Amino acid sequence: MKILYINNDGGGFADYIEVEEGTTVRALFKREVPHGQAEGYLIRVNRQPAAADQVLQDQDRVSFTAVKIEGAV
Amino acid sequence: MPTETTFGRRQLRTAVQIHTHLAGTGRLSPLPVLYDHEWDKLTNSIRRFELARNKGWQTAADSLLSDLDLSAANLGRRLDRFRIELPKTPTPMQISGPRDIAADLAALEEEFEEVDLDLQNKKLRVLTSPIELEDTYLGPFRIALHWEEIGKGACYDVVAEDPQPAEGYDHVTHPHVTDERLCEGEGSTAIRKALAQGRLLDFFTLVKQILETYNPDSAFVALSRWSGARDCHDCGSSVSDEESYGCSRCSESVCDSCRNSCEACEETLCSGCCTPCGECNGTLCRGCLEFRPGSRVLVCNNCLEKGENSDDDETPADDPPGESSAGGDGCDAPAADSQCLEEAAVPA
Repeated sequence: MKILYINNDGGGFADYIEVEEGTTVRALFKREVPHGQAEGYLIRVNRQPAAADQVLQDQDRVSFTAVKIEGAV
Repeated sequence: MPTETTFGRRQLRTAVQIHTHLAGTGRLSPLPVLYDHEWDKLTNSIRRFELARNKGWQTAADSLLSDLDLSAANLGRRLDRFRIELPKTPTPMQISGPRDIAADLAALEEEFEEVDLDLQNKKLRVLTSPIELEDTYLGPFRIALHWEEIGKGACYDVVAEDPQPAEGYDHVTHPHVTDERLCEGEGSTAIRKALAQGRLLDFFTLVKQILETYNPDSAFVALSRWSGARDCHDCGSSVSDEESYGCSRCSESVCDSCRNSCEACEETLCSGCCTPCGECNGTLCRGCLEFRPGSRVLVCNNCLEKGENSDDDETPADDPPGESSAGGDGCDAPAADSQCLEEAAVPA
């Protein structure tokens, strides 16, 4: 199935990706942000905060945004 | 499937307008942001260094050389990052449809304290919760997006609703906001991309997260400036009023670690106003040192008295200070600043 995956880290990424049926939010996070800690991210599915064990559905919109983003001069 | 939501007419009209604007700006991915702060800072330091060099100001030139090194390193890092984020080829970009943009507008209502759609002025404003960084209250901020400016340059403002500017910097309402402009730092490319694609919820969320994060290494003004703190003149660390000491000679503030005391009068001194006795090497202020009669050596009272008692075997200097040529080639005594020299008790 396809989901819209948005990662607002660094250069930013937003595109449709393929995931297997039954993929949870936790599994997607581990796959896409292997070195990240879930606590350090705002994780949303269809613009709503999501639980780690939420199972993704076809055409879902999933976004990961870091809680701490450092501004600079 | 995404939950079906009933959108207000106003939200839909706004969404259509935003989509129309974005579709007209082209569908290629934007380039990473290349701010010119670092370049400006470097060229400014170069100008100041050249001035100091022309005037022969050694101390100022030394200090500016460190600034130049830092500015050049910052510029180098910025260019490296620009290259890393540069797309390999111009890639077509997906722009959110009016329905997705409207869904973002609806989600903003839940995410922020207030959301205001101003169709007439083409502005979308949201209000954050009060921001507090490391126990410093900065108040709520209104983020105002002028959607017709997306893709053309600065298209949003960050306005403090209950301004709590840094002490002495009225235009700095947040360590990373000056003159209502946010310096996006790590978030710059993601913000640019979110705006170009019409992902408004992501854009406002990114700005909010930057406002809720403090980066002490790269702030317009350090957060300590909000609590009346000052920088130590010697080591540059931030110290509160209670923990800072004023140099009795030049009035600059120093921290406890950098604080010195004159061994004679016990007054507080910064490192620049400490003058060692030319004989015992004790730390003194310039006011507690005198030239040994007939010599150029600045000594403390103790050494002066000792010297007077065993003066017979001292060899007087050839060129006592009162008789030296103007501006001579400098004395052997430790460096004393001009203020101190004016006050020096030069023997008649």
